[in-house]
Amino acid sequence: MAAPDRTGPAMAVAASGAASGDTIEPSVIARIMGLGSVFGKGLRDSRRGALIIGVLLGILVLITGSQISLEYNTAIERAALAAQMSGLPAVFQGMLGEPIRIETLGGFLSWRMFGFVPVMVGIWSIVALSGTLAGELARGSLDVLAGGPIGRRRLAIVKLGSHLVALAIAVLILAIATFITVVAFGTLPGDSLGIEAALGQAAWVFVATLVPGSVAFAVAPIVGRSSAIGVGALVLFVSFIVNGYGDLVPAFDAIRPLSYFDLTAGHRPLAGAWDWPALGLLAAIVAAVLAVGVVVFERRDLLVPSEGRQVVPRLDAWIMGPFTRSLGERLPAALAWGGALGLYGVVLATSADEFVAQLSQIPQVIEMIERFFPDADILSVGGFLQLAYFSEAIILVGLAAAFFVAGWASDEGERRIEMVMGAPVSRAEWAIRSSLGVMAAIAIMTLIIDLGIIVGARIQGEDGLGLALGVSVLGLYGMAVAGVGLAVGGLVRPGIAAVVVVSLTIGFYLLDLLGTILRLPDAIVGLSLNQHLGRPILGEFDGFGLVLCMALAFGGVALAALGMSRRDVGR
Amino acid sequence: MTAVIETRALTKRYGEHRGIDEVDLEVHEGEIFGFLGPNGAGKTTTIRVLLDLIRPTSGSAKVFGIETTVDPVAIRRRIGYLSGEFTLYDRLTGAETIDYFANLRGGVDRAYQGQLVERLDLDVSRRFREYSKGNKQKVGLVVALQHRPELLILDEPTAGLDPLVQQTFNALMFEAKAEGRTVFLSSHIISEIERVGDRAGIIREGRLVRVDSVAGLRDLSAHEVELRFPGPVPSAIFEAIEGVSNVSAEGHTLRMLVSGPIAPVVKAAAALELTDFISREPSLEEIFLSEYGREVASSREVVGGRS
Ligand SMILES: Nc1ncnc2c1ncn2[C@@H]1O[C@H](COP(=O)(O)OP(=O)(O)O)[C@@H](O)[C@H]1O
Ligand SMILES: [Mg+2]
Repeated sequence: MAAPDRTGPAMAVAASGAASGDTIEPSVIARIMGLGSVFGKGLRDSRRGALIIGVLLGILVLITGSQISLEYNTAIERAALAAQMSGLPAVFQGMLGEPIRIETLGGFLSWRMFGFVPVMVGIWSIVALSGTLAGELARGSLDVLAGGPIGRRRLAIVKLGSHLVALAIAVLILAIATFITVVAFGTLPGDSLGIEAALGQAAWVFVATLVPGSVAFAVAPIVGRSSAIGVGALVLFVSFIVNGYGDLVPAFDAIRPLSYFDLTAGHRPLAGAWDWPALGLLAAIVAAVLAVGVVVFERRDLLVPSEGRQVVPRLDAWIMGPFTRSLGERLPAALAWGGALGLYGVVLATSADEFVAQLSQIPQVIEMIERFFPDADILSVGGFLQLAYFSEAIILVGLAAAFFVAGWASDEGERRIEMVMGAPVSRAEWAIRSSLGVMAAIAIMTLIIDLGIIVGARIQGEDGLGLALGVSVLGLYGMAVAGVGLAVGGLVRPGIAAVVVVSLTIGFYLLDLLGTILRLPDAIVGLSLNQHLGRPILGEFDGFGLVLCMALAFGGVALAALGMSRRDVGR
Repeated sequence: MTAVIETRALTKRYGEHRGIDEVDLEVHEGEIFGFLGPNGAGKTTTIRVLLDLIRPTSGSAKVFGIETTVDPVAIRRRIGYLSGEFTLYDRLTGAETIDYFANLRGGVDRAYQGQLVERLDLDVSRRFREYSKGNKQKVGLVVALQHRPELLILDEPTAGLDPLVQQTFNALMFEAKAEGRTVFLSSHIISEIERVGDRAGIIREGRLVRVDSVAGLRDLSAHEVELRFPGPVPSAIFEAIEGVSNVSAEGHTLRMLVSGPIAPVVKAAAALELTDFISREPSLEEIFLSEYGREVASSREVVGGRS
């Protein structure tokens, strides 16, 4: 009884090993949309996320495109913008790679906006794909599923396929919005583009998004979900940063060819640049990694094998109460995030001298920098770190905060709190103490980052304490966004706490990045918290911003406690 | 008799969905009270209100005479709770998990804790995520029992335990009772309650439909009587007897449900030619099913009458 495999075209990407062994099947419609199959269930689960992401990105493209078109509405203005952007040393450009034909609307969008899309959507892909199998494994629902008539390999392929289709939906919405934007706002001669350019750009988003997601998918069955998220995030950000700062940091330049952003840098259809071979190669790599993930899952025993288990050392310090428990749970991740960010700091700090030396040989550049930053000693390790480190590491700190908040929220989501609430601990007390555990984890992560900065600065012969103090503002920022997440988790429900933190982090970053170029009013750009952090590595602290961060952090803890003591716990 | 748990018209709605409806429950000091109901009946909902994890929509609940919404911490100090659905910290070992909960209470009697672990045959050196369902349940039991609470609130405590461990569990319940402590445990398996319970309440579709002693529940219940005749079946004679219902004839066999005293049926049968007389005292399980079945049947009749 070999029925044809009807689980959808997207499976072709993953189906390096064909599924086999079929039974009588429910209708195609039911299989795709309903609960008729694992695939349909998977698609239903990720459909909403896909729609939200697609629509949000679409709106972002529309806003950015319309603003550019309205604000720079003559060829001369557009050329001036392009010249200004291209003339800036790479460090001022963000990490968006080489500007290609950015005087056109499509070229500008593909450079300033699309360059960041695989990062945003990549985070979703990592979270989703790390959870497809590992999450189910932890919940035990796979025991039920895999015990059924559906084979384990087929199960993995089908669940993967549903994510790929969901992602394709999101990317397609983005492509359509991009096309509409170009048609509606592409008023200058060079602006007009066909739908194939939007689709070609979207194809790149699709493949690039899946790179870190596929890695997370492949390692998740072995290392577990949260480590898989860490590995995926590492692949994503190392690739992004190495590509973006390769020109500045020799160490990054050496490994740049390994970055998938570098590999596909020549494929920017919206700017008229195509590179299908590179994209095809990347797609093949992604397919291979996904296939590895399927095989790994297939071969792995469903229950974690406990043979050869080592004696676990007792950690009395982490079982004293809700605060130490919360901190203990977050600690390994705090050390990992701190270590990665600290290392990034060391690498950048030790490259600072070379960069500054390079810059000071070009008088025009110095002149321009002084125009941009009249009151700052930009030609210093601090200046370099402020530009190259602070403004980018802030996303990672925000994501780390989201990760900790997600862990905090899982105490309620996964019903650990049920048993804790059997003990004489009030809801508010639990909320305050466990939230402070989250804050302490962020503080520890920040201290490790500081350590990296100090080490880097010492290698450069600088003191580093002042730099470290400035970098600590990142920690305060992390606590602020975490505070908002905790407040929402406490007041509304735990499931959305981390989503709020991620959205704020990315929203603040984009508003900060795009707001000035789009000439948005100060009142709007000022909504980004990133605008209120000063340039702390250069010693310029923004008092208002620091107080605001503190207020968000500790106000958030207080609101979490208030919310928890009012609403039903565990929904 | 002091009421340790007392609910008054306790109602909880989850938005539009029914949770529990006007539950009046009284659990006395020193007894083992079984809270019986099929899945989705509202057992967990009731228990979560007692713990102040969720708040009543209307009505009230008191534990030790303390309103649950007023001072839940004072209540929790004196109880041991095993949740029906829980996970704990994946990375902690069983021992660490148990100690964490001991620490939340400011410490427990170590010797008793060790004894519990031993009697439940739990290997506490493993990480929580490595435990099977049954072993996770054992960890939860130790957490609930280790401080010798005045009141045990256990939501489906025997789920996942093998029969041998269930015996240990029963022994632990009897010991708690012998020490004058109170046990409130929920279950959807009647035989469990039958073995350890003093009294039981049956909850169904959010309503408490009956509370009685375990023995009383049995007495109240129907007997299933089966009569076999050599010739035609005289249904009418039995249908006329009070307390007889569900009379059905099948060939030479007559089946009926008898509630209350069975003597009238025996007398009527004695006057007739019989080849066999079978009467069974149903287990609590069957009482429960007949309770469940009868109401389903009556609600169907209402629907049928209208159409
Ligand atoms: N969080 C919730 N949201 C909505 N409905 C719920 C929730 N929890 C329980 N219910 C509903 O309340 C009823 C009682 O559930 P529960 O108390 O868990 O039953 P039991 O423990 O007896 O199996 C069920 O119909 C269930 O669907
Ligand atoms: Mg229940």
